[in-house]
Amino acid sequence: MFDEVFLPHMAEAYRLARWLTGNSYDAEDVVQDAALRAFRGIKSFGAVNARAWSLTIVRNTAYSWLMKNRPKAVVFTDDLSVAEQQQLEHEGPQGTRIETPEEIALFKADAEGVQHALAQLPAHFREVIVLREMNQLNYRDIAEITNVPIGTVMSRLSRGRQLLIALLGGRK
Amino acid sequence: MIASIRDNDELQMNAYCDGELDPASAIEFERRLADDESLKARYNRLLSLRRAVRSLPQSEVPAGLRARINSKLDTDGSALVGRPGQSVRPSQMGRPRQRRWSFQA
Repeated sequence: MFDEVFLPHMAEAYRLARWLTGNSYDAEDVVQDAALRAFRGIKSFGAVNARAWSLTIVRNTAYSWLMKNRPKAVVFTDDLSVAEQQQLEHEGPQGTRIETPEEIALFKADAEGVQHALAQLPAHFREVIVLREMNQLNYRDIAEITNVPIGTVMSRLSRGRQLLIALLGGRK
Repeated sequence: MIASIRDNDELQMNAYCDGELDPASAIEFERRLADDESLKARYNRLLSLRRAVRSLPQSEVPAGLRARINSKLDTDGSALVGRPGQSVRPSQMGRPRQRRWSFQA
């Protein structure tokens, strides 16, 4: 049963682990650890959504691994200062100022810049963007994997994207 | 489908971009998009960001990872059923790097 449930999602599992850990070596460790967890916990699989079940294990394993091995590398929004949290959660990186269409058009991005900006995002924003854009999961599955309400997924996606745009446009 | 987010342009714009708005909300958002230059510019920027993120090189599963996982699982499965003499040595993992991976999942 494990072969049918977890292994088909290996590519997505590795991709998620790669973005959460920041490098391929650690991602391999996480995926192997997650595979063993899934193998041992296969009886808890409810035969509903193998993809979400597998990626949930990978995500949780990645955070456990990071907290154990590289705790300083994990920045959640809860770890930010009050001012930073307020900016991200309520105002967005651009604050409340209304931009002109000309200013908006200034957005530009190259692959290296996007990669760097995405890596800079706090984990909660980065993971929803990776799950949505790289793994192309819908909101419901992202909510299940990250264990938050759909409204929180929407908020984090929106704020994460605004922050990315701000980082790429130099308007932090 | 998400229908109750009309009070927030950013959330609605993101949900539309992600195909998560219900049909009626999507049609209404498209009408607003046609009439609001600023909203259209922000939406186009969102699309540009999406294209940029999705065009990033995708990490491929490293060669040998599946085999290493299968090896681990075989060992673990053997341990679970209590078969003796099935331990695996670090040198059998096939990767020239000290592993921090633990059986204590």
